[in-house]
Amino acid sequence: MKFLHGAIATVAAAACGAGVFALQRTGDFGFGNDEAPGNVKAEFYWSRLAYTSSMQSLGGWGRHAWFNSWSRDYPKADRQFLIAMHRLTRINGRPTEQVVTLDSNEIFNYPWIYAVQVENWTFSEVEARRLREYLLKGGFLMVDDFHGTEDWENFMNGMRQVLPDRPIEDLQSGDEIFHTLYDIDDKMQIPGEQFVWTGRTYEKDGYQPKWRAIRDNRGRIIVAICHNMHLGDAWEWADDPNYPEAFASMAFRVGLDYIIYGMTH
Amino acid sequence: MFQFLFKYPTPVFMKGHLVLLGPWPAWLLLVLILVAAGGIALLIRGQLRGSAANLPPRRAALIWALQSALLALLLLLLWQPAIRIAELNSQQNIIAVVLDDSRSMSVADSDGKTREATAIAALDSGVLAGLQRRFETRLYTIGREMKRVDSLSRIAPEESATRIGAGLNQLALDTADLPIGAVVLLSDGGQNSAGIGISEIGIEALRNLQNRRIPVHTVGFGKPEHSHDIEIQDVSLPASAVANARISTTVTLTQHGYLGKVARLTVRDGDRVVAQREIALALDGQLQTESLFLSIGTAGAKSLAFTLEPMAGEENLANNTITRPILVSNAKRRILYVEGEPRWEYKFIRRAEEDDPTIQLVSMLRTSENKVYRQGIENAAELADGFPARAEDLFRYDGIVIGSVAVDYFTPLQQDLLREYVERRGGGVLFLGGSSSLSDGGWNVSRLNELLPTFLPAGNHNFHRNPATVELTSTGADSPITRLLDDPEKNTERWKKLTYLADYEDPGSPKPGATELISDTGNWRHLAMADERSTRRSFARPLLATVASLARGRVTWTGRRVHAGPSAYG
Repeated sequence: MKFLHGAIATVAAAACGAGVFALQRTGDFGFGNDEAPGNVKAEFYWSRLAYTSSMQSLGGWGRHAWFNSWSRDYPKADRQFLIAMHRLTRINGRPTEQVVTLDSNEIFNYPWIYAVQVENWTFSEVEARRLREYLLKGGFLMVDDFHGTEDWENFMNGMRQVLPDRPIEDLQSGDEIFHTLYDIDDKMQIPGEQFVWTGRTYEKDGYQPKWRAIRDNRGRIIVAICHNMHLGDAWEWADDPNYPEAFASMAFRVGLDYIIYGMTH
Repeated sequence: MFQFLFKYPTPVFMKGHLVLLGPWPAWLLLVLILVAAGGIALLIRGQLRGSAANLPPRRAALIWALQSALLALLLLLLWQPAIRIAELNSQQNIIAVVLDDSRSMSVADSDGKTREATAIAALDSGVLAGLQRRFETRLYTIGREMKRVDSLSRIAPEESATRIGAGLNQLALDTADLPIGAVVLLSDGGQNSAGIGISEIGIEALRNLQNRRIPVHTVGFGKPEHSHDIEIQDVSLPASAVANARISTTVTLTQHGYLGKVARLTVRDGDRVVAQREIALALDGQLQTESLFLSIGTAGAKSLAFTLEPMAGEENLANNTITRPILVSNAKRRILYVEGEPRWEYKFIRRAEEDDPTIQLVSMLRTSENKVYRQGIENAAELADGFPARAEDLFRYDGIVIGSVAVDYFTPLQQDLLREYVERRGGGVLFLGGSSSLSDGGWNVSRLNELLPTFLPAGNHNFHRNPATVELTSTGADSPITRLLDDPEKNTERWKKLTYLADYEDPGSPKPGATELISDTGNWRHLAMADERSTRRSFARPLLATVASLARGRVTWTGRRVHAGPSAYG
């Protein structure tokens, strides 16, 4: 009898463990098998950068761990945004998201990438060199969802590994990047979902939205920085009746403008 | 025998005109001949009726014909027939003796004597004296211009150039009031002016000589071919270019005695060396054509000198250089790029053209169903209404690129304008492959199908998002269109190292007159099989780019897009 109980307990534990493992939200790092819905070839792939997090020690499961900061809002934000992109532009995009890394030159196949919670990122020398080459050769990086002074400093620690000499400038309303698809002259601070229950548009000490960028030698924006705002949440919770439509609309327009800019400059 | 019988040679009768010197009009002769023939006919007829002879009609007709011909000849002689020809009159016509005194006449290739000395010796040996006995003679020398001289004693071959055509034209005009009967030209034939035909005499000179009825009798000196010589025959250079552009030229040359050797071709703009190239010399006397790329430099009127550097032992250096003028302007070439959907080559084409100082890329991109994003425009009004609908707006562009745009995006009027742009304006159109291009964009059933250099395949699933690699065809290897590097062999190797293409569109088969520049290597099958396990239909190796000339314009299409891989970026 004891043996039977033990066997049942073992089987149940194994089943639970398998279930827990199956529920882990891991990134789609490739095309998977041919029959996967995500294995559709397209012109544009929404590419989320999976970086090495400085919070790795807390996780222990590597990039595939669900609580890694690169995967904030993933994949709903990505999917929602792609729905809007298909609806509002002529971009031939894959309907599902793509996760990219700096481990190999594969990233060069995805000229537009998105990264969040970048106060946590850190790069090895190889990764920094690859990202620098990626950006200077025509790649475009959009960073989002980091707030306040301390987050900025941590972000810059990583950014200076990649582009140590490039100045960071504030974008103006007249900059071309805000007029590629939509004319966005008046911008607002786009808060995360926390706005629904706090009523605050800011997090930490990020009171003012900072629309910033890094340019190449020709004046083309290669890194678009959304500091003190959270566009990813706006995309993710656009279908939440409690989340203001104005923020979601602005976030979609900015994202689409940034993509069109990245595909034209 | 002919001259013995008729006193004058055959050419006199061939060139002369028959005239009647008699006092009576020519029509009277004709009338008398007819009357005489009629009278003889009546006489024969009367005699035959009265006699018992049974003469066959044919014999009677023969008798009539012979008697009529004899009577006609007698009558003709009464009218004093003669042949009139033109002939120089002794001591009334002037003979112009023209001696070439350019430096090429100083070549000593006639038993140690220079050509000039040989010509003077020939004249002094009795030729000139013989002419002077019958005609008045004038002596001239010809180099850069025609000059009259008093005697042969002071002639020296020092002129730096020979312009025979201009000199003869000058002679014809300067002696308009003199009875110049003929020109005797003593020369080695080498000259520095470009004209028509083998003589390279300008058409104006030929016309003036013909109007004056002045024949030119030529006496050649020197060897028709040198045993050791290289010569530039011709240089093909565009008449104009934009500043800092890279242009293609074609040089035609011949050589004798240097088979297998290497000659250096140098192009100079004043003292500045613009380009240089080593040329392996072909067979003796064979016309050899070589292409050369050069950067034209800043704006202005230029005269480029194409020079083959002298070879060891070369006998004639005067034919090693040709100069050609070219006008370089500051104006950029404006290219209109129409793209139907945001895609990566649009970005990277723009980035590449930003580095080209000779090109201004004006683009319009359909970002959404009803929005167009314009870049590179001169002002806010340019392309504000979309693709130009007026000829004066469209013809402003020096070239048009059409990306993934379905034909029905263009109105019928715009489609007609595109055709006129190629056929009437002489502009070039480049079609890019894409999901809405060519067959997949309905171009195969449009009125513009005739513009395309290929027979587009049927159906609309000809665009494939599968990788492929490319290589130059033998024609593409020589074409300036596909030249990434100046050296042809290095250029071909460079193409082989290009990154693979992300996708391609089946272009169909080339039309007659189309030129195939690039094709895939066939390795796409292996790359495709790695991505698609489904069975594929097999077809011939698709070509990448073809070009065809239509009327005054040119249409090119490329069915491939470069993948945004690491080596393709930037």
